Amino acid sequence: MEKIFIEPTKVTPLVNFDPNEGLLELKGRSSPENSIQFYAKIIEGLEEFINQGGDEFIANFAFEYFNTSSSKCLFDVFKRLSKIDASGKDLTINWYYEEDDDDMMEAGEDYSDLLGLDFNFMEIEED
Amino acid sequence: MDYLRSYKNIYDQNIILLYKGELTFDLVTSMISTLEERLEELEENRRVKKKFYNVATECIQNLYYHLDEVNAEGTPISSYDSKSALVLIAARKRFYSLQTGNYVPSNKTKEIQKRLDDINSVDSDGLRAMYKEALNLQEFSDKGTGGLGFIDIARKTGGQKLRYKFQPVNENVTYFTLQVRLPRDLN
Repeated sequence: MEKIFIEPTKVTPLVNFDPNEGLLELKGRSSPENSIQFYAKIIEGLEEFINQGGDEFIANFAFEYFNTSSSKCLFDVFKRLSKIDASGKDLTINWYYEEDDDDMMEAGEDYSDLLGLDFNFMEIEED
Repeated sequence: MDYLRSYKNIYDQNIILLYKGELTFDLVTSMISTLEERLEELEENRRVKKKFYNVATECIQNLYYHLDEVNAEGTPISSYDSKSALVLIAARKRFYSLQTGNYVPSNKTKEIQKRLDDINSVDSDGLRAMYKEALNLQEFSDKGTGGLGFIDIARKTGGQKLRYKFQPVNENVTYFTLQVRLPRDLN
């Protein structure tokens, strides 16, 4: 299983995906020109993890912003996480959002509700 | 010609961005960065700043994805103009106004209008339900857009109605203007 590491840009988040460690981290902003293309590798990697990965998986999301096209892609990411959960593996989802960012908190609640997944909601304090 | 007077018309209205022309993705990204820098100076409320970034990105990207749909043959509009966008963003006392204008095929106006009216007819809980439904059911278009843009904009502006106008140029082409208002008095 292949590791993915992508440095963040103005329009794409930091991606740290280590399937061998059972870890996925997405952090920053996501509004790329082609979201489907950007998220395809992550989704492929998660599919692989469902079949070949270890017993535990931790997913950390710390978005500052994502556009609606990324929102659809993230829904696809969560569908794969839901499969990991259903396969009996131990899944942890941490959803970080900046203090007072109700919009981002609600976005996490929406995914959690639509797919019946447990999220740990973590507020990040501003300095 | 009184250039100063025409410039003053622009300055007097607190316009923070005015653009007319074709859009590339890089240009869209630069416009959003410029807006973000301007907001650093203009706006103290962090939540408003963040919402502004959200809504401006969605509005301008949305526009970018839909500019190539018009065929202006047989109209008085040049082919450059037919694929051009108008973006006018102003800082008013009580709200930010984000206005966009673009040509759309006339046979699409009914569908767009219905979507906007549906969005305008519900409250914030209704918007949230509508967003979740679209997320769950709708497939991607070939451009990677998911039909969520307008709903998201309405959600993030706290139930402000989306103001719009359709002005037919001829039977094939219509000019579509959208105005989004983001209130500045969020607590």
